[in-house]
Amino acid sequence: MEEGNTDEREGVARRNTRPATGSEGIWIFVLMDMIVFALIFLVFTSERVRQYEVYRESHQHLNVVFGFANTLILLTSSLFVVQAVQAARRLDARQVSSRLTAALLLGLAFCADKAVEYSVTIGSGIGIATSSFFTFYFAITFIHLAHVLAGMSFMFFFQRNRDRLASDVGYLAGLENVGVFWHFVDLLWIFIYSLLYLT
Amino acid sequence: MNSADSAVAVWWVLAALTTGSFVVIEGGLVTSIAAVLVIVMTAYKVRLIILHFIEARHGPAIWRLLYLTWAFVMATIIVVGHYTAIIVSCSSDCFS
Repeated sequence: MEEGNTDEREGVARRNTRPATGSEGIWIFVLMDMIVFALIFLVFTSERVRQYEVYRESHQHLNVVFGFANTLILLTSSLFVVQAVQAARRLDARQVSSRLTAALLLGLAFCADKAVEYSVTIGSGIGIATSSFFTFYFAITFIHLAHVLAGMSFMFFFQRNRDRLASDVGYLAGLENVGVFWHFVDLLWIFIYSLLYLT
Repeated sequence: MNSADSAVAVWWVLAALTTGSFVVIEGGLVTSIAAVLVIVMTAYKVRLIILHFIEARHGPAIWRLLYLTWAFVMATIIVVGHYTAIIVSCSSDCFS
């Protein structure tokens, strides 16, 4: 009897903390990554306070159009991932495949935009050691790019294995995890865009 | 409105806010108010993604609270850092 109550209590506790999409593990992982980026932003900000003129002058060398295009690209990619997860819940493997392919292509577009931006920036004589602003610029955007590439690898895996949707109970949960991660990549970019390009 | 339509509607709002912040900056409105406006739009976009795309609005309140708190902290770091840098840089001229 007591054992039954314990199971029931644990079940309620699980239901109370279980996220609506994905596993608790991915939510914890994302939260840890969020804290790391908050600390990076804090260090960047403290340096900007110390060298405001340098940061203001350096910031003017960035082309806002690259950041704007990448923001729209990632937002649209996020929408396709939302639609892929919704399709997976309906067991519609064909739509999962098409939406993930679209999201992947936009991920590639993000990488291409970033490559062009890096080459334009470096081509104008700016490097990682030009000023501490550019050290942060290259470090933050490169770490973010690594997140984009990781998210794209996961999406590629789920796109290739779409036939498992009906037979593998873990497929949907895995795809939801990829969705949470990809939206986090999008969130990060929105803040990076504001920090480096807009303010 | 079903969840698929709702996601598309959210995307339209996100795209409009992104374009809005781009217009504010590229339009030459580089004032103290512009920075606040851009960060408010950024924070609202992030809130929409957390609630609707990550689906935190359907999950337990604790996750919603943690993620939205992070978004608030990030926006605060950018705004406070921006104005602190301006105040510190001009303190000798502005307050002497």
